[in-house]
Formats: sequence, structure tokens, C-alpha cells
Amino acid sequence: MDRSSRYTTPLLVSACFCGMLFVIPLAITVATSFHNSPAMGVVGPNWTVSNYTHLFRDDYFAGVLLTTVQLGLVTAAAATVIAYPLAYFIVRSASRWVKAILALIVAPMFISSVVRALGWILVLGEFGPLNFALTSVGILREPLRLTYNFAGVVIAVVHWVFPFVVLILVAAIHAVKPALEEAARDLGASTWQTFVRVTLPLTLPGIVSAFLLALSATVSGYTTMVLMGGGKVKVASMIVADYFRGILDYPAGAAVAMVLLAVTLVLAILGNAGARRGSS
Amino acid sequence: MMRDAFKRGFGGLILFAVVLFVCVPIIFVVVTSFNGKGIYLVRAGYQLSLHWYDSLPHGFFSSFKVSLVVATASAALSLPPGIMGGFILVRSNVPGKAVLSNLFLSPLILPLIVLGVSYYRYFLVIFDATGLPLLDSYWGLILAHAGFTWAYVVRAVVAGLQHFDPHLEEAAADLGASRLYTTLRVTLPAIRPSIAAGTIFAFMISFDDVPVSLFLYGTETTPLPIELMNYMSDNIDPYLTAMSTLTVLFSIVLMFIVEWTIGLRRLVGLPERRT
Repeated sequence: MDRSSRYTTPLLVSACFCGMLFVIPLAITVATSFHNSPAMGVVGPNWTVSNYTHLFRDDYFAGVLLTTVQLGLVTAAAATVIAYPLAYFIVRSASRWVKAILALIVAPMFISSVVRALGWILVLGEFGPLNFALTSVGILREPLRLTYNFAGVVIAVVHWVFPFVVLILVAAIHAVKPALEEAARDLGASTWQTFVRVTLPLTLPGIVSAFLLALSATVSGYTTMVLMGGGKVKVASMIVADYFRGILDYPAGAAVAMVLLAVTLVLAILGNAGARRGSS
Repeated sequence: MMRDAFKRGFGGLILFAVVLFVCVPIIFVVVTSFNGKGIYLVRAGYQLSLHWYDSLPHGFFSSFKVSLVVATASAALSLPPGIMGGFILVRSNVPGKAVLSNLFLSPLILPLIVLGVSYYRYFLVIFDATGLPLLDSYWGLILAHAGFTWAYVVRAVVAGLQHFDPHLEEAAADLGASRLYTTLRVTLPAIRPSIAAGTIFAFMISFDDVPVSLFLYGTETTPLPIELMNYMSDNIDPYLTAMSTLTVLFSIVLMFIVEWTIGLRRLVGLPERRT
């Protein structure tokens, strides 16, 4: 048997599975986004691009898209900056705490994102422990408003993407041989110089992929944002849900979905290009 | 020496702050659930009590069952195509393999809400054409979840096969084993930890899913995350934290099982520590 026919059965099974449960459903949404919408919950027979032209003239949608991208950039930057020192510690430290800390960082991945958002609502709330601590110590006079606004969403979303960001950075730092850092130090570089001139440049591709992963996850995310936003902070995925579950305008919702899809695809292509440059 | 100690202390403080950040929301959910005086423990005070666990709303438990059934079944369903897809991407030389790779793995990066609305319309179309009711059904949720969680199995199998020594297969072939026998008795057992890691991820993603189930669930088939979310939009009370604490317990048990079987490091794809 030659090499290609040996794989006929697995190819058929996996391609059919992917076709039936992924390609066809997505293709329906693509087609829906180019149809008219004669009444609530009805997809009309006529082809049109008006769903898209309406979208690009819609100031409300432009605002939502801007919020989505802002949230993604702030979250990705914050998560990457906080995660880097931790990842460095996990890779380089000889401490016996490393295993326990790694387990604690990974643990939230197992815990429902709804439960984590609930936790943040409790912690950040007006009568929560954070505001109590800040007001009773005298740092603040009035409690901070942190739930159902942008700041609260950022905090919870950073928490949501954090394990993934740490893991990418751990892998990137792990790939830098400790001998390189030792060599720099032997040649008289200070700890800080070694970090800035050796470790940081060598882990830059990892930093970029961690940032892009956090950005892409935030732009496409739904659960944490909807719970923490409480209807006050709107991101693109919520608009898709609104069209399909509230307004029942499927073609318009499908067009928003396609815009969201396009944004994440661009981010993925950027990430791939970065990874290829990093590995060469 | 003073400076070193200062630096170590500063580093430790940052480390502590980050770990606290990671743990604090979960700690608060758990602590609040045992407070007999309700949700605002800072203002109302604390009194240890199991009161809220006594009378949890029934909907929580039936939703837990829905999630358990859907996550288990969809992980099992995604296993055969996931393993085969992984073999295709690593071993075969079919034309257009790059396209296949992008298609198979894209559920890992796509916005799940886009898939959610796609399954919703797809199931409506299927219903119109055949009368098969997939919305508000276990099968609809299982098929939809398998349709994207299988990518986690594909990714894990690809990683496993890339680290697999093909000489083992040659040895089996030299000893007269058929190709199928070699795959089943040599290759698959060798990459079993990777397959397990992919399946656990598929289970976890399905168990936690909101954006896909949101468009497919019904009154008899409400997965737990959606049940909790709907409950939360009306009121945040200690029943919610009590049920959440039970799911945290479930997550911790799952995590220990992973650590004892394949190891957390392997699950998340981290290299072993340098010694």
C-alpha cells in the first residue's frame, strides 16, 4: 500500500466530521450575512451587501468595536507585563514553591469562567473587601466603582487570560539556555543588563505571541465580559448575541459575526508570521 | 548583602501579590458560601454555616447533570476524528494539507459566539429539511460541542506524534506487525498521554461553555454555566456561591486526577524542568 491510500479512512472520517460540524455551519452564517431580512427571525431570499454597508455607517457599532479593541489591548498589555516576572521565576527559581505556584496559576483554567466572574463581582463590589480595605485605611473616601464598568471588565479578563499568557512565556523563557545568561554575567554585565540585553530580546517572540493570544482571546470572548460588563460595557460578541436572541435580525447579526471573525483571523495571521520569524 | 535581601524580599512581595490576584476571586466565592449572614460578609459579619447548601435550587443539580453528560459525550465523540485528524496532519502527504490544518485547528482561535450562532442556524435548517429537532436537545449540544472541542484533541495528537520516535514503528514492522496492528498497539499507546491531555481539554472547554450553548439550550437542557449566568442576572445570593463552591471542588478533584495520571505540566504542554 502506498502512503496516500493508507490514510484514506482517517482522512474521510476527519474531513467529513469537520465538514458536517464546522464548515457547513460556518458557511451558512457567511451566506446569511449576505441576505436580506424581510421580518424578525426571517432570512430573506435576496442577496445583498447592505448588512455590511449599514454596519460600517453605524456609529454605535463603531463605538462597540473601539471598546472591544481597547479592552483587548489594555488586557493583553497588563496580562503580559504581570505574567513575565512570574514566568521567569517559575523557570529559573530553584525554590521548592515552584510546583505549588505553577499549580495555583493553572488551577483557574479548570474553574468555570462564570464562577471566576462571580468571584470578581464579590471582591470588587461596592461593599466588597477591596473597597472596605481602601476606605477603612483611609486611602479612599468614597468606594471605588469597579463592577459593571471598563476597569472591572479589564481586571476579570486579565484574570481569565492570565494562565495562558504565563504558559506561553514559561515556554519562551525555558528555551533560553541559562548558560547564555551566565556568560553575560561572567563578562561583567549586571543582572539588569543581562535581562535587557540577553533574556528580553531572546524571549521577544514569546512575548509577542503571548500578547497576541491575550488580545485575540479578549476580542473574541463573551462570558467574562457579559458578566462583568453588566450591560454597561458592550463588546462585539454581545452585539452578535443581541441580534440573534433579542432583535432576531439574523443577517445583521451574521454580518457582525463575520467582522469579528475577520479581526481574529488577522490577529492569528500576525501571530503565525511572528512565530515563524521567531523560530528562524 | 543587605541589597540582595531587599531584592529577594521585593521579588517575594510581587510574587505574593500575583498569586493573591490569581486566587482571591475563588477564595471569596468559597468563603462567602459558608457565611450564614449572607453575601456581604465585610458589612454583615461572618458566621460559619452550611445553611445555603441545605436548600440549593434543584435547577442547579439538573444543570450540573446536563453539563456532565454533554461534556463527557462530546469529548468521547471528538476522540476518533480528533486522533485521525492528528495523524493526517503529521503523517500523510495529502494535497492541501495546510488548508486542512487551518480548518481542523481554527476552532482554537475563532470567536465561539460565531460558532454558536452558526450551529443555531444550521440546526434550524436541518429541522426544516428533515424534522430532526436538534435545538433544545442533548444531541444538539453534544454535536455542536464536539464540532469545536475536537480541535483540542487534534492539537494534542499532533504534538504527541511530533515527539514520537518513528523507529519504534519500523521495529514493529520488521517484526512482522501489520500497519493497523502497529498503529493500535505501538503508536497509540505511546502517545496516550497526549490523547488524554487533548480529551481533558475538550471536556473542560465543553463543561465551561457559554457562547455556543447560549443559542442551543432549552428548559430541559440548560448547561450549568448558563443556569448560573441566568440566575446571576436576577440576583447574586449565597446559593449561587454555594453551587459555585461545589463546582470549584469538582474542578480541584479533576485537577488532582490530571496531576496523578498525566501530570499538569504535560496537560498544559510545558517542558520538564531543567535539573
